[in-house]
Amino acid sequence: MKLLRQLLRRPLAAVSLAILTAIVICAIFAPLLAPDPPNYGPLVHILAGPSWSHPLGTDELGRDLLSRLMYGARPALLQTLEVVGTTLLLGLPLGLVSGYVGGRLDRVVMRAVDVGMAIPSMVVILIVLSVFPTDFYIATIALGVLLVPPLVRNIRGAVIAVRGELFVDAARVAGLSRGRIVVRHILPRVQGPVLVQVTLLSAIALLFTSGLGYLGFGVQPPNPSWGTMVGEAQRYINQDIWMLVDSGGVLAVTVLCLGLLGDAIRDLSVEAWTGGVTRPAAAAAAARERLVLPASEPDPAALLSVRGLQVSFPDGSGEVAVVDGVDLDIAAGETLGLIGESGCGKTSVARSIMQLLRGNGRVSGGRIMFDGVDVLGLDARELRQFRGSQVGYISQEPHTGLDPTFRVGAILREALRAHGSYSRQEARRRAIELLEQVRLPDPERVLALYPHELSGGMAQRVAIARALAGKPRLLIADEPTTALDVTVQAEILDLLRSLVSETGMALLLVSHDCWVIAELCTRVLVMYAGEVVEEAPVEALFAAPAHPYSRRLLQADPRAVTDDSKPLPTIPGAVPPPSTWPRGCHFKDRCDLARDACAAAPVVLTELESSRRSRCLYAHELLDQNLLTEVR
Amino acid sequence: MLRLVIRRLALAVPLVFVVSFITFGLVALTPGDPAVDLLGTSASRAADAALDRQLGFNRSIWVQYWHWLEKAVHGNFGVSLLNQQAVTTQLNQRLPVTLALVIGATLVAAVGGIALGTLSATHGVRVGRTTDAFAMLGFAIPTFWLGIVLVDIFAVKLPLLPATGWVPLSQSAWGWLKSLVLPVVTLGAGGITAVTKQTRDAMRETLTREYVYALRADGVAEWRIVYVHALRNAAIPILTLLGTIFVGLLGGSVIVEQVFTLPGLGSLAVTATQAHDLPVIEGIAVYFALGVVVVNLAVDLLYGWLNPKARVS
Repeated sequence: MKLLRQLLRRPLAAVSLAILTAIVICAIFAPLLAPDPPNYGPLVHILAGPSWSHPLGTDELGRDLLSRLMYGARPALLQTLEVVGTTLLLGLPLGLVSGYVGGRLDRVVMRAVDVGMAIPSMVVILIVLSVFPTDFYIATIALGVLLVPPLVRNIRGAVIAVRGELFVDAARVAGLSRGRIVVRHILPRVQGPVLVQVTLLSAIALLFTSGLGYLGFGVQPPNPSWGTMVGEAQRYINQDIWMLVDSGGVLAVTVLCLGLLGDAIRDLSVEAWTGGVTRPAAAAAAARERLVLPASEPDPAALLSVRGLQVSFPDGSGEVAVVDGVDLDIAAGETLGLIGESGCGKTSVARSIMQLLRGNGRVSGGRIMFDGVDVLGLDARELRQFRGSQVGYISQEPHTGLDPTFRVGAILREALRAHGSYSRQEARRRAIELLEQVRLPDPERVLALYPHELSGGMAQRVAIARALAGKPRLLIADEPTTALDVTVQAEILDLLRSLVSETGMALLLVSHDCWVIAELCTRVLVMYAGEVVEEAPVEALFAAPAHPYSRRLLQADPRAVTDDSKPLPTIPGAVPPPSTWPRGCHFKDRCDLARDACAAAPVVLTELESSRRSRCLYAHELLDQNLLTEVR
Repeated sequence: MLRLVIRRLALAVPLVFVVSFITFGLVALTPGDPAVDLLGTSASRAADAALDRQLGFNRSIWVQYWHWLEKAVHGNFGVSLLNQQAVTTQLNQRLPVTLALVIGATLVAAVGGIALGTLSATHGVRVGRTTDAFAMLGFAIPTFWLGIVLVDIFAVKLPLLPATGWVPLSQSAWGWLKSLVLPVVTLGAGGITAVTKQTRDAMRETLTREYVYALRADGVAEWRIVYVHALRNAAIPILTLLGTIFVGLLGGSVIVEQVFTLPGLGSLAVTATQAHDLPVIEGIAVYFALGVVVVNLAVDLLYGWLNPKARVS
């Protein structure tokens, strides 16, 4: 009932439902509603188009087509009902049980389903018709049986999807019998998929039985059915097109309505169980109060200069900023670290430089200048040339970045050809060079491997090799070692370090790992909740962090702990979701130095000394404290 | 890979048995007596019985099935009760027609569906809605009706193509092609819808994969990303669907051959049904089942080619 109300609220579904209801009413009450008896052929006004007395025209005997369609709907609906009824009666229990019980029973059923799906139904139905030429209902029941396998497969899939859910476990623990669980708990939950299947089955059954009618099986002349009427129309097509329009039209409209209804039910049942997306009220408030600081001008001397970068993702009906007001400069050949916990916006910063934000994220503010070129203003072709040849990118998971259906050689060739024309042999030679450059032993063999045949370390080397293919001047490495074993991590870091010194390219290294940053970088940006909270030379940061978050981050680094007897320090709490970021300091709730002033107004990034900036109101205090600990 | 093929073959054998036995069992239930059908009601009882013996109808269904199976393995499906012609000869004559029709239609469904689905996945909401509506229409319009309308337009109003009939390839390649166009399009149109939906969903999913972003990061052209990389990965579920669609179109060929009066297996199935011609129907059912088996095998081989992981395991 609830579903029906929801359906009626959707215009397309409501119209479909209305049309289908009208057709059913016309069929049931045909003797009352039809202007003429179905076979009344006065032999006048034959093959006429629509008129006042015959709204849909007449056929070769002057019979009223509207009346014939109304009467013709009766066998159509009855046969559809027989088919769908049979299929549901057999397929629904089988699908429910097979999906719920699983195990050997399920395997046997699925094997049978595989065989059943491959049976050519039409031939079997023709055989049935030849054996029982007068009893058409046997053919419809047989068709119903033949449609069982796909129904079983679909229902089983839906049941398996909900079988493991908590409410089912709860029912099981409560001691309900299997039968009761299936009927009382599983069935209502798969109601949506079942109804979708019913609409689909009805459409198929209607088309199939009408097809048989067209072939001359089922209702015999002069009695009307939709299928036979198409056959009659075909004979008079040169004299009267209306017969064809009417008979085919009513079939198409019915099937169309069933299809639209099915789609609507599918959409609704997905929404009903996933729950509508609600937008937290805080998001709107935070968005309104966001402090718009005038972004400073990009640094013309820097290779990459980012100013006031804001990255937003869709959230409910609006948008929420996950990165806000980030400034970043990298000089040619410099290695800059970007550090912070997961969910701080590091990856969004890195990917926005490449214009490769996932989902529907977009750069909603700020500027990105690369060697004097406005990256955000590039058109598709310029962007393509910029990517790879100016900036290379290595993503977090080495394997997911490699197309699983292409060999390493093809992947490297693709990257090479994006930036120059190579003959097959040249491309191969360059690919081998690239693999040698990333120190992969036996490069010839590696070229012929598929991604799934590579180890994590090998895959990451291949990813680095392809990023080098366009000889980029800046390499962005997003957590390049996170997914790797510790020993391999060190190798990859060594490789990156020597590549930087060999090629003279700049490196933006994104990581949550202080050790990784300390190994490679000269300068660090610390990010927290969408903002840069501290910027410092790497030694200075490690010696004396100027933001409470930086300090916590360094303390939580397992490699910095020398005393094994104490538990590893952690940062209490978690990074708050972007929609709940407060107006004041984003770190306030997790900070041990927090005071009232922290929440009062947005905190700005202020310069402490040359090349040292912090977003903490008490940065100087913090530095003094650090000094004290050191003295002690 | 080999295991995949073997598993598919293990499935194929029961399929052929099930189809042939359903056929056989059903026909054995026939209330009518084939001898009476053949000789007419005026023939004597003795003559009926003699013919029954000659044709083997007096023995139990299991024995009959066993004899039939023995011969069938050697490619002998007996003779047609109607015209005494060897069934195999008759079927082989008609096989090229149905084969050309169904393979052509599967190609139409594949090409049309993949094109529409890709368009829907890579373009905005409006293009997506339009292709969805178009695909829905393809599902709603009955095959036989579409065939008649196409004939009226392209054969009667604009006499470009033959309305009905068949020109063998050996006679004229051009004529063969022309006689195929309308039936193939008619039959294939019904399959486009499902392929469009599958392609759209698979492409949408594939285009969110990290390797797509990695290719963009390399500066690879968008068309190559969509049509070479994403489509190849999305093709794996599409291919499975095409196997199923082939089975459906095989059945649909019965109707389309009737609309266009093509001398294929489908139209033979209809006449044989009306005449209770048991050996012929059985032969057709087995041919169709074998066709399904061959197509499923081809799908598996293609699957291995598309998906390198399936090749090793």
